[in-house]
Parts: sequence; C-alpha cells; structure tokens
Amino acid sequence: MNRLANTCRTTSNGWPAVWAVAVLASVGMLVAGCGSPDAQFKSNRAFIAKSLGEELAGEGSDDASEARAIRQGRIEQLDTVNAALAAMFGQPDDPFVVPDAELGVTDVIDDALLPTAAGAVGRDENGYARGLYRQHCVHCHGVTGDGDGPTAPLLKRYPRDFRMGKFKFKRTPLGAKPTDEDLHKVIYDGVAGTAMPSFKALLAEDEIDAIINYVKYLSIRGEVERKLITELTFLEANEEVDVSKDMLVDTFLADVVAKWQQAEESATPVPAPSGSITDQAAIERGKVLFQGKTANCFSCHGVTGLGDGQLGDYDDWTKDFADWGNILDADEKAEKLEQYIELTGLPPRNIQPRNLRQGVYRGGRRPVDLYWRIRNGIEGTPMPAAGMQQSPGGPGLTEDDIWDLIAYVKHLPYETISRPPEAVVENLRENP
Amino acid sequence: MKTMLRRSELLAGALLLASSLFAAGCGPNLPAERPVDRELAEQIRADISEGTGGPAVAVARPDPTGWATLSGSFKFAPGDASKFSNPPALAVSGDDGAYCNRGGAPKSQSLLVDGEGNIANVVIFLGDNLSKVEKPELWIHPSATGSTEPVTFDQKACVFLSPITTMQVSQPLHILNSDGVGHNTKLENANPMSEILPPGGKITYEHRKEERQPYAVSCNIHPWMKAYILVRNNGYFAQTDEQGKFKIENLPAGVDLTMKVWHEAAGGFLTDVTVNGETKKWPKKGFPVKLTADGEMKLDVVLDAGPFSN
Repeated sequence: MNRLANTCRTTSNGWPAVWAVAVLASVGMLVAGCGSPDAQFKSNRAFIAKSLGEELAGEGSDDASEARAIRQGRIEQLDTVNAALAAMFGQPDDPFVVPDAELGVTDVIDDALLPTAAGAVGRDENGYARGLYRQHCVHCHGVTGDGDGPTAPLLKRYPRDFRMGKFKFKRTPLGAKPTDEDLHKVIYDGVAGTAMPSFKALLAEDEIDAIINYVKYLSIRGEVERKLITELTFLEANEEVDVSKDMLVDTFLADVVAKWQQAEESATPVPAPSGSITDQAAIERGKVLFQGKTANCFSCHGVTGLGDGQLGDYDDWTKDFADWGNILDADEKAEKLEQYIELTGLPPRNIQPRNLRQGVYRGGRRPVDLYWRIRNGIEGTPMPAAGMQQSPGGPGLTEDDIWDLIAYVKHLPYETISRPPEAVVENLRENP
Repeated sequence: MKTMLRRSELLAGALLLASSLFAAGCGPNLPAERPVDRELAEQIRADISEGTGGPAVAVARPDPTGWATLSGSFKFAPGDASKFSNPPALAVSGDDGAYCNRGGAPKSQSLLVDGEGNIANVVIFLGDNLSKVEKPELWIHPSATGSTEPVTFDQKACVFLSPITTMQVSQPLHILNSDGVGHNTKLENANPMSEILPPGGKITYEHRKEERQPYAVSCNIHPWMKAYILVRNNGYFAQTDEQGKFKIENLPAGVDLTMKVWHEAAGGFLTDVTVNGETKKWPKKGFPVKLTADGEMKLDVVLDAGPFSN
C-alpha cells in the first residue's frame, strides 16, 4: 500500500500513476499464481451446503470441540469425494472414462471424442479442433457444466446446469435421458427465445458429436458427485467413505450410465394425427381442451395463453437447494436466500409458463416437438405430462386430443384475444 | 495532483479489499474449495481399474431366533407441545386460489401435534433392506413382504389427504383426484412421474425400486401442495398415528437391527432424542435394537423441538 502510494507521489503526471498501479497489481497477481492455473472442476457447493451445511458450519454439536471434530471429519470426507471424482473422471484438461467393458461406460461416452471437446482451445497436429467446449460453451455453462459460467448472471434464463442429469427438450419421458438426437437438435438449432444459439454454421457434424459426448460426460460426473455427497449424509463425520470399485463404479456410475444406455429405447413413439392440424375444427376442439380441466393448460398458461396463470413456482434446478415458494418463515427464507446467492451467484427466479402467443417454441416448432412437450411434459419444469385416458371414455386425453391441442397452440399466435366489436355504422350518405 | 493521489489510493484500497474478500473464501458455512488430493485420486483410480480396495468382507450374521414387535410413541416435551399447535396457512397462488381458499386457506400439514405434544406422521422403518441375508425366510416374515394391496393417495381442496404414505415396492399406488380442479402429481423418486390428473381422474403407478428415505410428492399447478412417500422392499415400517403411537410387528428377533426415524418438519432423520427417559444421540445409519423372540420392545421417545419447524 505504501509502495503504491509512493509510486503515485513520485510521478509527475497523474495518469501514469494509475497505470503503474494497474501494472503492478497485474504483475503481483501473476506472481501469486492467479494468472492461469490448471482448470479444475468445481464442487457442487450448493448441494454440499444443503446436505451437510450445518455440520460444516460447526453446528453439528452443542459441544464446541465435538462440533469442530465433526466439521473437520466432513471436510476430510469431502476431500475423499473429490479424489474419487478425479479418479473416475479426471480433470477438465485430462478427462478420463472408467474403461469398464461390462458396464459399457464407453458406449455412452466415447473417450476417443473427449479431447475434441475437452481441454484448452487449439488444434491437434493434424489441424483438428481441440477444446471446443471451452471455446463455445464454457462462458455460459461453466467448466464444470454447472450452468455458472461468467455470463450466467447476465441472462434472464440461466444456462443449463448438467449436473442434475435433467434435460428439458427430449423425446423421452420424465426420468429418462435425452437421446443423442435430442441433444444434437439443441446444439444444432439452438433454443429459440433464449441465449442458447444455433451452432449449425459454426461446427461440423463430428464436432457437434464431440460436444454431445462431453455434455454427457459432465452430466454423468455431476450425477455421480451428487450420489457421493448424498452418501455422506448416511455416514457419521468420523466414518470412512467407501471408495471401492463396488461402490463407485458398480453402484453409482452403473446406475447413471444405465439410464443413458436406455435413452433410445425409452423414446416416446408418435402416432400420426387422424386429421390435419391446420383444420379449423381441430383448432376449435383444441381451444376447448386448452381451457378445460382435463388438459388443464390454462391453469399455468392462462386462459388466453399469455403465460399468466401459475407464476409462483420454480424450476427443479432452483428448487434443488430450497423450495422457495413454500418457506413460510420470513427469517428462514431470508437466510436461505442469502446462502444460495453466495453459493451460486444466481438469485432464484420464478419460472414463467410460456407465453404461447409469441410463436416462439424453445424445444422446436415442428408439430412433433410440441407433441413430445405436451405428451411427456418438460423435465425439470412444472410442465407435467398429459393425463391420458386409462380406459376408453374415462377421464383423460386421447392421442387425437393431443393433436388438437397442438393445432390450437400452433394457431394461438394468430388468434385475437378478444374479437373487436363490429364498427357502428354512422353518418351514411343516405341518412339526412 | 492531489485528486490523482486520492484516486490511485482508492484504486489500491479497492484491490486490497477485493483480494481480502477472495482470501476469506466464499459461501456460507462452507470451507473454501480445496485442491484435489492427487495421490489419493491415483490410488482410487488404480483400485477401481483393478477392482480391488473394497471394504472388508462382510461378517457373517447369525440367524434370527424368531419374531418380535417394536412399538412406542413420539412426543415433544411438555414445554414444547404448544409451539406447533397452530399450523401456518400455506402460500396459495395462481388462478385456482378462489377455489382452493373457499373453505379457508389450506394449512400446513408438515407437523401435526396434538394438545399433549404427541406427534403424528413420524416415520420409523428398518434401515437394512435385508437383500443380502443368507436365509431371507428367517429374516422377513410372510406378513412383511410381497403385499399387493393397493395404496390410495388422494387430493381434495388443494391438499394431499395423506401427508405421509408408507408402502412396499410391490404395492400399486392408486393416485386419485377427488377435487373439482385439475392437479398434476409429481413423484420425485428413482422412477419419477409428473402427470395431469383431471377431476375424478385416477392413475395407477408402480414403483420400480425402494427409496432410502421418504421422497417428495408435489403439484406444480398448486405449488404449496406437498406430501411424502416412503417405499421399501419389505413391510418393516410404520408411521405414528394422531396420538403419536406406532407398532411394527414380526421383526426378526435375536439379531442386530438398525431402525431409522424420519420426520418432514425436522428436515429428515432424527438423531437427538430421549428414549424411555434416557438422552441419546442416534447414529445417522439408524439406531440399534435387538429384540427378544415373541417379545415386544417399547420405545417412548421425546424429541428435541430444536430441528422442527412448521
């Protein structure tokens, strides 16, 4: 501080003094090692805080020394969790896939494709791209795939956090993973109405494949991390974490990988509509369904489709830390909010039901895209799957009802909210 | 010149402040991010690649000697009994507000305590799923397995009628909507579901596997609706009734068992308790019991109100 001040005093002109300070500061930062350390995956701090926060805050016991011991024990367990993750997945510059043929991890993540997306941006000796994720994705989705890149706080809709293993726009039902084709569509076409751009002009097909592969890798890593942290909540602070192959690979990893392996077969088949979806009668039927209690679209999207129904809910990523809408105690809510913002840097925001009059469809505008959104719901959001008839004529929707709803939703941007009254005929020439 | 001086001092000050903020680490409660223990990571990678380094071989367990009953009650200390006697009204929102509020605003069901401090909806269950025992017929009584009796889960007046449901994986779950408005029922388990249920609708849902603790059920159309379901491979579970009482019959006797106790309003498993007058701290894995064949063990548990909030 003194030296900085001295530099200023001995300089005759004021501006160079400021420059000197800036240069000195940046040199200092480089020396201190803040320049460019090896990329590291970040821990899922919000999930750790939710699972073990009290004990890590030193509140695990009324006895102060016992509370300290508990805290220390938890820190050591978390070190083991981090080491286990590094053992199973490597680091951003040096990703790794457990080469377990029986488990088929390499069927889901192609380790040959990893270097194209992982690591630093550049080209290999043959001129092929390297580090595509860091070139195109990381500024929003973050090195860890936690949706917390530098631009994330600036976006109205936060970038996807892959670590919960939930994806919105897919042909598979809730709980199932997206197919490669689903992920391809998101990268190739982008997500309309959000900051997620289309990469069709920027990336070759094999490069998109490499990014799909890397997104799956980050997602699987994130889900395994959650399982490991959850496991700690069943252990005392002084117990050892089981990091055997039996636990890490055959239980946790196998569980997550199996779901990715089942993605293709769990795709929801799409029956052809029995009539045209631009037919006026289909649109009219769809409107009745939209505003009725069987399809229940209106309760969130509003009777007029403006997206002004239920506005008090949050998405699953936001609710993962706390059920914000339902913390009834104001002090508790304030405390949780402060913690969450410190942990994630992203203030929780309500999820808004889509305004269907804008004609912008996040997951794609093709009728088949809308079919999957309505039939399966949108994972991670309040949008539920359609309630289908369990027996003919029973409560619920039919496949044709879904197509009628699609007809109406596609028509909504062109429908006036209220019909303007007919003009009153006045001052006609023949009137005296 | 003087102005410049002040400006640069300010800049230096700001830098110092920023760096000290970094040094203090971030996030409440949490230690700063720590570097990976590379040696340990390499060891684990070698172990998982070769399939070694597993836990010690499980010790053979003795056979049970018969069947026994575990029963008891859960309550708050007399001084704490009145703290939770008035459940708060829930935060009703959305277009169905008028319908849902017509009989008065729905009240939180997360902690139901009677005038004497008896706590309803405490869940107590056997922590071990008994999948690895050698002679299952000695461990799992016929009355505690394979039930196919349907379990009903209903909703009316924009609340779930059962805040906690306990069931076996083999039992079908009949989800009903006896309300005048549509609901969506969202099950957040290993085989998740979120589906619209029109008025009078019914869904038959099958669990695929058991859960280690009760999972949340919610409705997005009415985000204040909340319930929990515990699903286990065997029938060794109970939930306390309105008098805070529970009973689990036909547990294996003469062997070490671990029982877990869970309550929604305590945010999960309970550890700080007074059992039959003795203060205890139950382990996170569950507390140990060893029952005598044909006997009944009674646990009268007084809970510390600290972790509870409604």
